[in-house]
Amino acid sequence: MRIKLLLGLAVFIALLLFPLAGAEGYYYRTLSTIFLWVGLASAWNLTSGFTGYIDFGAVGYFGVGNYATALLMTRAGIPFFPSIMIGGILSGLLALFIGRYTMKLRGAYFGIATLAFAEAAKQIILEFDRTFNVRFFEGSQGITLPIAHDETFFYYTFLIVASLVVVLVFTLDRNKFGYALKAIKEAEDSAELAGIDTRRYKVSVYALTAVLIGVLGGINAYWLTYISPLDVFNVIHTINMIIMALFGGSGTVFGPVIGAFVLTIANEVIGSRLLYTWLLMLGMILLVVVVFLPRGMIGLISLKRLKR
Amino acid sequence: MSVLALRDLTKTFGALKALRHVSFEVGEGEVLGVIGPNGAGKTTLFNVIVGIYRPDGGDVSYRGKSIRNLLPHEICRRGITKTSQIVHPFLTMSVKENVMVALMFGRNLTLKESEPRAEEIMEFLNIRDVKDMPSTSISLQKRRRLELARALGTGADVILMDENLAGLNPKELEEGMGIIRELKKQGKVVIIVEHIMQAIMGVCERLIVLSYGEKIAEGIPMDVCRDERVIRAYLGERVCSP
Repeated sequence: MRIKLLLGLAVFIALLLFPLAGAEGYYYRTLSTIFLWVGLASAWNLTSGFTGYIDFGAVGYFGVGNYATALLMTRAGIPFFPSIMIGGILSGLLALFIGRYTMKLRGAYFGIATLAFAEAAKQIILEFDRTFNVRFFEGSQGITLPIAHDETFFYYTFLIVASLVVVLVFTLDRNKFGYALKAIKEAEDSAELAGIDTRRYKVSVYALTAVLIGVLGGINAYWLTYISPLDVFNVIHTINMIIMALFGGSGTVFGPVIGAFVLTIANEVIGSRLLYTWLLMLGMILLVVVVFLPRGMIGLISLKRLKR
Repeated sequence: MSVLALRDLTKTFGALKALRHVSFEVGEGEVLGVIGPNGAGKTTLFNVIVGIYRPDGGDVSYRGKSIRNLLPHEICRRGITKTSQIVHPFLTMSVKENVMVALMFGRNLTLKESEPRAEEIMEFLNIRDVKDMPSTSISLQKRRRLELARALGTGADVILMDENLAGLNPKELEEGMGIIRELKKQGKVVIIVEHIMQAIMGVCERLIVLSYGEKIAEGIPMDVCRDERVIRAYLGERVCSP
């Protein structure tokens, strides 16, 4: 346990000092992408990995965060940091409402309902202006944000936010809240009989995940400087979160972190060279992981330690 | 005053009347047995009391207050919980953690406070030897004991035990009966559903017999098992000498 903590701290400090080495912009962008995915996959894992409710609509909150920040900054002139905070809160409030109804469903029904929510959110942003004959979300044209910062700004923002997400998951994993989530995952009826208000815990963690994803979405909008519904609500983002969490080990603290690191780098190195075969390979890797390593890469590490 | 009172309790599943106007009361420190053939509604009765099912008619009250519209966790915190016939432990947690969850949420304790209390409960139920094992890798007997440990962990004073003694060997059965008597001494109300007549006759002060969702008999065990209707509906033969 202490080893994991020290290792995590060492990685964090090394990444903090990395810009001093004076690398090219490419490395900042790649690492920023990794941090974004560490944050997203960890946030997704908090609800889905810990409670077993597989959320297929996580991108909905990512999109809401993107749009909230973009609109607040361009329309209301609110600075970046308050904007991402408000964006996070808005997406959390939305999740409280959505979660009240979807969290009653179990298994595939929950997955379908959340998928439908994210798709509906995308359609609303796409068609709102045309339907009501206004100019607000700008439909498929998207929104352009001001360019004001260099790569290191986003590097640090992503690094700190992603680290905070991981620390949060780490803390929750070890306290009462985490026990409630794990009890829900493993035997929801027994959890109720043990006095756990399962619905309250499920909806709270779902909203917490949405806040985190919403904040990350906000940073993403400012980073990319251009967002459109088809891009920030793209279901592929949800699928990426799921794949990364499963690959590293869902329901664990560091699994999604490992998954995000490995798969983003693999995508960068292999994916950019072998565009089509890479997806095929990714599919096979995932198949092997799910079948032979149901606990992900983390499971491989702890299994080795047991055998020794 | 009665601790738990059921009045005209009715539960239907589609066309099936699982419970029909069942009424009874349980008093302080009492051990009540519920018997009846398979499908008589015993488990449904428990599930309605603890709030897993909502009754279609009638009322359940705990210490004079109706609990029929409460959720299982609310009922648990008031003071009623059950052990399930099919055990559902929290799989990846250790035995101790399973008990700690019940202590933390049933009694609103912190993680730290719950640990020593879990040790006490495991000591009492004689499962301390497996406390650090994952709940998946202990024997069925221990898992049933763990169900009971979790129920006690919540601090409930009414414990419903659904076939918690099934499948045990004579020695384990004797130990299980001893635990129920000890719970009574501690002032708990225990309601047990059981098919093992030896256990029923050994620990229960009063019996209720269900058949097709109806209460067909109630009384002290000796009288109930001589009742002709009970023999016809469930026992099949005389289990106690006339």
